[in-house]
Amino acid sequence: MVKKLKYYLSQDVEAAPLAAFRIFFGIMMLFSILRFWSFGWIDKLYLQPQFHFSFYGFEWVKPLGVYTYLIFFICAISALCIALGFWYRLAISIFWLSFTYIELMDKTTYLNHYYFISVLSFLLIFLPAQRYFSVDAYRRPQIASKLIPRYNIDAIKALLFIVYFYAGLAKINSDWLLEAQPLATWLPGKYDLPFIGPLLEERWLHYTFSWGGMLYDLSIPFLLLYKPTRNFAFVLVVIFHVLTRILFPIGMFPYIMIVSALIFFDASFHQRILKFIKNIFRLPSPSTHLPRSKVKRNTAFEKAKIGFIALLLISQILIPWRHLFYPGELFWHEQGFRFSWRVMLMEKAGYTNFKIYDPQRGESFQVDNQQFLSTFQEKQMSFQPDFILEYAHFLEDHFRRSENRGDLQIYAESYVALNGRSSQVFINPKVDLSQEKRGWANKTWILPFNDTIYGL
Amino acid sequence: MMGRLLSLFLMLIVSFACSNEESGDSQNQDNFDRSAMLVHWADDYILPAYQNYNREVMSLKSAANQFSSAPSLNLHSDLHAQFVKAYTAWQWVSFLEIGPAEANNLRNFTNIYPTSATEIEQALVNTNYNLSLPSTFNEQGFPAIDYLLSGLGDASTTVNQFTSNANYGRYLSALSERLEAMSTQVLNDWNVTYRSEFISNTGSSATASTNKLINDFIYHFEKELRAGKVGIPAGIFSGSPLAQNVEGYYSDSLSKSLFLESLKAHRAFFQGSGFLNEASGNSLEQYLNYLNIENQGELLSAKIINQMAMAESLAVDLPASFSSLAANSNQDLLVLYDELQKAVVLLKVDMLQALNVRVDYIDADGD
Repeated sequence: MVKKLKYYLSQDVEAAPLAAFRIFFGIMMLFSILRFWSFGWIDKLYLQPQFHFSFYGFEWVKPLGVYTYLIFFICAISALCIALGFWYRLAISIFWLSFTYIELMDKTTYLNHYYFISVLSFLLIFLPAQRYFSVDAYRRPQIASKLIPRYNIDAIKALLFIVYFYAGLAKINSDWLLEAQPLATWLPGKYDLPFIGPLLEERWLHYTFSWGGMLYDLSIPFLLLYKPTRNFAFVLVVIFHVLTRILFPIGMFPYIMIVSALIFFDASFHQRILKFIKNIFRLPSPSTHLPRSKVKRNTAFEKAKIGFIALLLISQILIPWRHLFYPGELFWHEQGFRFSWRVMLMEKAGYTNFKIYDPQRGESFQVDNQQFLSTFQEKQMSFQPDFILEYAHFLEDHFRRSENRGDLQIYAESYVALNGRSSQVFINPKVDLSQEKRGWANKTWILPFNDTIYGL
Repeated sequence: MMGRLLSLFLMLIVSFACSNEESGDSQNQDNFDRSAMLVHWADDYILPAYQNYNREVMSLKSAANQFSSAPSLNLHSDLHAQFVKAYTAWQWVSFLEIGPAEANNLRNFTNIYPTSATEIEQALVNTNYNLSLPSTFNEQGFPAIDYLLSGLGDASTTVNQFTSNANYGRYLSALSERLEAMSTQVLNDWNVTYRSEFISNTGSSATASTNKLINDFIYHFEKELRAGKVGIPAGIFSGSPLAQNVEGYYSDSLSKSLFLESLKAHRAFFQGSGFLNEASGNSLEQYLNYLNIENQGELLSAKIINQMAMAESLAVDLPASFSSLAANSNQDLLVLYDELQKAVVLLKVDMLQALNVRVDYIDADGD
């Protein structure tokens, strides 16, 4: 076992796939940020709202007013540097920091694929993606190398494997497979699409897409790993993600996944891509007699790096299971729902209002949420318990300060509907939320779900 | 090429493997005609409602001009009666904040209450008001006319004021002319250009007609009907009742009938019974029934209609003035508010989810 592992760690592969991955990743990220900026979303999502929902423990990460644009600018520049392989380690580190900072500013905008990018860019900090076909390698031939240790590329494959496979596992539940929910709710709304529009109301199509999506997510990592099925798998990847792009408003994610899947292909394929890029831009050829490998394996630094990558991947395998620590229906209480590749699993909508009781003045009143939250924030707050609690605390704080009140009691009147079911009361209306602490402890003030969803 | 064929083949296999499970479930063979729903909304509800409103504000304008030029008790009573008719007609178009009404900010210029007596008095002294400024929302429209007609004192005091100071008449005419001009503008835009734009914008995006109008409808039910007409005066948002915040405050006994009229309009729109006539069309009710949406074993559409009827029957038994209710037996308003709130939950959570209508103006990626 140890011998096998040692042998594995000593193996080298061509650096071309990682170099191509680096270039695509940088360009995709640059484009994502420019797209986000051009839609005016920086202003709309981070500057206009007066209140921001924080991840627990990251309350100090806030938008910086007009300087928020600077963070996006830095993020975009570092993405460009990644693509060029220019000061790569610094660029990818700054990218990871700035991108993650952006994602932590307000969890209203949380998306699994943003989290994916944070994790992936963190992983990329440790990979020698600048050693081949990069400005760094051109300027400093002493670091240039045609070969890199194999585990570097395998780490990316492993991460993609986890993302797909866990997304597939999460789909093994009775709502998805037996009721075809939430697709049965979403798809008919797209009736106006050309050609497939009329089909989207058909019940059989909802089941086809549900089962097909589950089987796709579970099998695609294997089909991509196994050489004889790889081309076929890639065609599936393209069809699947283009279809999701047409049907759902999911931004850049499909393109990122399609391009990421290229990492599974052989080095010869990536050599052709790099040659193509080289010819377009008339770049100089990499030195033909690059040394075998510049990566010294026995340094403490290299060993620590391997340990770090292993730790990162193991944590990725474990984190999605943390919901097992909480009783009740995961889709309902959402404790442990994020950061676990549960993608497109729920149609959840809510309506939550807050009643504030001032015991000193003996009066109570309700809050107009639009006074404090954007439409988007109100929508997200209405069905996610951690948002509800954080907002309740904000309200207590706000009314104590602005109206010079003493201790206040905050009660939520909350209705939530999940995957086509009737709405039901969500938060215990008798619990004073100002007394409840934020944190990892089970939120006992969420009322139990009236139904059962079977599965993982 | 080979791979593409293979994948198609696989998809077919998957579809055959799974579609036999509940094949009897798709009983709705014919597609619901959503563009017919838009045509029905436009022709059976929106246009007749705007035409009716426009007629009433035109009459209001001439009644106001008559009264202003020769103030008398008789003309005052005629004018007030016409004011009530026009205000009632307004209830049917208030939630249609789409297209020309949205572009012209119609609701804000027409019905912001409580109106500001201070600003109106200033305008009466300064006379250099510009009613097209957003800062003048609360010194114009029906609430401001209400103040001029009933807020200065009893009818004879009002007639005396108008007789002794011509600024009152001028301001009243300016207000009624503005209502008429805005209404005519919106109606013309609907007739000339917007109807065709409205009925052809059939998509399912956030800016498509169906989505926008459903959002407008629910927003209005929640913020204007539930909160504005009942919740705010009842003190739901302030801790103690705000009796002066009712709609039609100065006419005193107008608030309940305006509330009931608005509720009736929402129900008519939801059920597709059209404006005044009984032209039943492709409505939200039928749309929900077509999708066969049930809520706790009952049709969702029926639950919504029952809930509206429940609120209506509660309100019918209340005294005519919500203002004195708020001041004296506020509990009745709180009970009414709770019934309206239940309807909001059904509309905003259950109906929106069932119709897969995206909440207004949320323009961001999902995953």
